[in-house]
Amino acid sequence: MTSTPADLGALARMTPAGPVDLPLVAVALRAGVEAAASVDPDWLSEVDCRRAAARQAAVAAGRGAALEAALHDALVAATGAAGLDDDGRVASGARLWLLSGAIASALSGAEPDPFRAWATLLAAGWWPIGPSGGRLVVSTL
Amino acid sequence: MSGPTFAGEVADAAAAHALGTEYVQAVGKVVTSHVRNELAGATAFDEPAIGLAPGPREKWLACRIAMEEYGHHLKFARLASDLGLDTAAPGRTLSVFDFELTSWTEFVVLKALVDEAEVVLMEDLAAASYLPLRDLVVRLLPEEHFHVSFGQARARELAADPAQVGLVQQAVDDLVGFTVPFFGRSVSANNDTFRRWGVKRWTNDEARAAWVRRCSRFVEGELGLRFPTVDRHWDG
Repeated sequence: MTSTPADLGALARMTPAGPVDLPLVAVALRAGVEAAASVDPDWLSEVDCRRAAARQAAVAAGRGAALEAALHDALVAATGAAGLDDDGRVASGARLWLLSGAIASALSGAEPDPFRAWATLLAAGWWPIGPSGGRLVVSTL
Repeated sequence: MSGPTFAGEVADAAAAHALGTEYVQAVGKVVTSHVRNELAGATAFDEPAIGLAPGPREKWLACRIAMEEYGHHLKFARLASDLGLDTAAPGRTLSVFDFELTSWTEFVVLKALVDEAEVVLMEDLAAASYLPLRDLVVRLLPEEHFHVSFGQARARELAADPAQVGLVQQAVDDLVGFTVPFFGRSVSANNDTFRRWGVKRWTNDEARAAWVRRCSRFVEGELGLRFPTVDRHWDG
């Protein structure tokens, strides 16, 4: 179930790749999947790098086992094919991609934690998508 | 295979243990193999594929697939734990995981062909005498079908691209060879035991033949490419 944090706009703009100052739009799942197809590739690449770096940092800090343990139940709860169409899988995969990055980042002890704001949105049931077509897009799923 | 075939159904771990050590070991070998190999697949292929994906949609579908495979590992591990099995003991993973994934093209062909091998194995287990295993496999099969259909759809797109078709053929040639041993040796005492206890129905060669039929039909009929000649007997 999605809830709307009071500071949705501020949280959404604090993306894992750094602050993004674009007009914020909240869209339904189908429009979110369409927007996701043209998300800014440079921004996406930067998030990919930070996600990988967070994982490496967590392992280097001796928290590899804790990372795997933290992912276990989250992933079991988050996967399951019932009722998912292709759009649902794209959204789920994107959320899992962010979630696994957020878990690794939290365990790495990074401060400030680049994933923290978007982890709050994920926990509230949102799919923060990123900059696409001159807008910063989030989906309500 | 010698001796009568067990035709009963085994409701839970306690009932499995009541049948005796050989039954628990037979189910255990199948379950712990999946514990190891689902994790190996997610680690060797699916997680790296997230970084190889050519765009966001493919990246996130690859992520979903990676997490599903990882989830399968966890669910089989839970099944093993319920049976009182030690999954921490080291064991060999399947030789297909020796394949070194270097491109998105290889990944989609791998999903289309190697995950089809997993579908064949799971379809066999969908009638297993051990009901917790049967129930788990029935729940996981839709995800494996999705992985295959994902690979097939992208492989069709790539095979239609003159710049990619040669790479698709190369991936088919490479991956078929790596996948043939997936089903085990033609003469297999383990498989005899699995069938005697109703854990599996098919011989390793029957499963391999089913996989060859499906994949050759896809590669030749839908991609218009050559499927390598495969000896359906394999003795290592």
